Amino acid sequence: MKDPKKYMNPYYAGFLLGLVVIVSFYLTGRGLGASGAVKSGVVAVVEVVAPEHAAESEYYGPYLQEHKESPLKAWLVFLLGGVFIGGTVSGAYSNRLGIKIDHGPKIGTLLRVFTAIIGGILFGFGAQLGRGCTSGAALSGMSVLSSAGFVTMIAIFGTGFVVAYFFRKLWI
Amino acid sequence: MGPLVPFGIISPEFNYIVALFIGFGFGWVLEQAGFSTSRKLVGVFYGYDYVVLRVFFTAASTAAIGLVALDYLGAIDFNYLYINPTFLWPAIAGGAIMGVGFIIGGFCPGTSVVAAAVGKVDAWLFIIGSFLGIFIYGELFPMFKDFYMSGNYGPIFVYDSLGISRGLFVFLLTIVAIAAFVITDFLEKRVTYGIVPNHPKYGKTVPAIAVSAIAALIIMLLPAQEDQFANIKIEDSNKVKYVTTEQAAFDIYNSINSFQFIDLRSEEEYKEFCMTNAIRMTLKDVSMHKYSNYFTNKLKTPVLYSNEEEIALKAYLIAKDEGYANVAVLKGGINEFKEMIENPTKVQTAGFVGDYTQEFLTKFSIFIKSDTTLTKPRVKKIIEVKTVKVKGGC
Repeated sequence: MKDPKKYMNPYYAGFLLGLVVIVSFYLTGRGLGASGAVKSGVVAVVEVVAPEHAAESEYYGPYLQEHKESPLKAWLVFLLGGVFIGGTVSGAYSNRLGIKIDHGPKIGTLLRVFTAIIGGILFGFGAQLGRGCTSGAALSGMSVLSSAGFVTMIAIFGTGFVVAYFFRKLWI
Repeated sequence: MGPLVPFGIISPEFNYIVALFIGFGFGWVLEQAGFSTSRKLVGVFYGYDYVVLRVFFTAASTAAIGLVALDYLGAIDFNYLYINPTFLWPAIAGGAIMGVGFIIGGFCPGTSVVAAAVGKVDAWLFIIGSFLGIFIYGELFPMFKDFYMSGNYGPIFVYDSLGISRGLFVFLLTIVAIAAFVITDFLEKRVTYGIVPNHPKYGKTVPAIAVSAIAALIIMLLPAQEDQFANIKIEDSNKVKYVTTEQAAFDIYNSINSFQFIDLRSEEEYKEFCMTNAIRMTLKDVSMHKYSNYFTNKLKTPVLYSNEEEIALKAYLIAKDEGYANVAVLKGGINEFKEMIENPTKVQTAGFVGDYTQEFLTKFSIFIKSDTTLTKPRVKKIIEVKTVKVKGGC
């Protein structure tokens, strides 16, 4: 097993990420995003399992109206597909592939399982309410200098700093 | 000019392929930066790993500077970019919930996909959790709907909200970013090395940031875009395609309609007396994609005019710059046209309609004076190019 390569210089990585955002806006008029793709997945599942409920719902209904072909034929789904591939290729290239479960030194795997799921539930819920996550609302929003982008970013990171202390045992 | 999909230069179907490639770049960079590990991601909140701050702030600054620069250069039209609308209360509430989710879960949706891609089980669990979270939201949505729609300020810009210019804001943003980098560099040397002795060192703050700061400064100090047109001058008037006032008269009299007159004067002058069926545009409008259909219409040559020729010639240069081949300028401007109507026997272009020029122009003078609507604005609405609606967001 080869040693993993070093991580990229973060400023350089940030610069490249900024370029990716610029290219995205220049080519398509929109920035990056992620949570929307997960929503597409949820809508797709609900539609299969309970189609009438999906069609009637105030939440799933409009989405289905807009994506008549398939809930999964959405720009963000393709984007995230690319992210997955890009991540895998980068991981392979850097010898960082491997089934692992990361967690802080003071907690065990079982607790990590719970915190990962709960964190996901909170983030999924919050991203819908906040109309985006760190990639879509915050990063892309800040790139076009929207007020929403900055408000969302400050809300996410500000809250993070405030509550970090109370969950410190999870990480340090 | 970008953005290419809304302008139809890239088809909506191909857009999905574009998304795939952009996503690849996104995923690659995130993984290379170390965003496939939850422990690195929360490091900024505990002061042992500042990678998130460095990457995020640099990316946002780079993208903001880049997009503003492209806008200034006329390479991108901000009117067609997706600007996420501000719904203040749900943004704050949602952001706060996400903040807690970040600390507990150690991921955000994008990074969870990257981490899942390299095999991190906690990332897969986070994604499953996200599904559940969105499902719960979807089921409870009617409860939140009013709150979700509250505080709607529309797609407003942060610099407008703060009451400063865009260039100044971008500059300040860059300064704040650099300050954050310097402070965290310092904290890292003093504090982090104690906690994590093998923490990779990044030396100085990268020159790329300095370059960005200079770029931001330049952008801020650049003249406002209106002044851009002040220095446009015609080099060689022989190369300009002209339409004479006699040709215009002939076209109007016989209702040939092969000219689309474009008035570049003020609203008042336009309303008082204009060329037949003329539309009014500003110099900036000539460069905008949304009016391009007037310049690409093969059946109707756009004829630019102002009082004399000076402003029309500027518009002509702008149009040529945009790549429009079929453009003309009204020779002598509308003043010459008015002169021709008043004194039809003073022929400008000899032999235009042969020996009958003077006869024709006299007839024309009577004709055009007989119906005042011919020289008043008649066109109700300027037709804008239809663009693909910019979808966006999350």
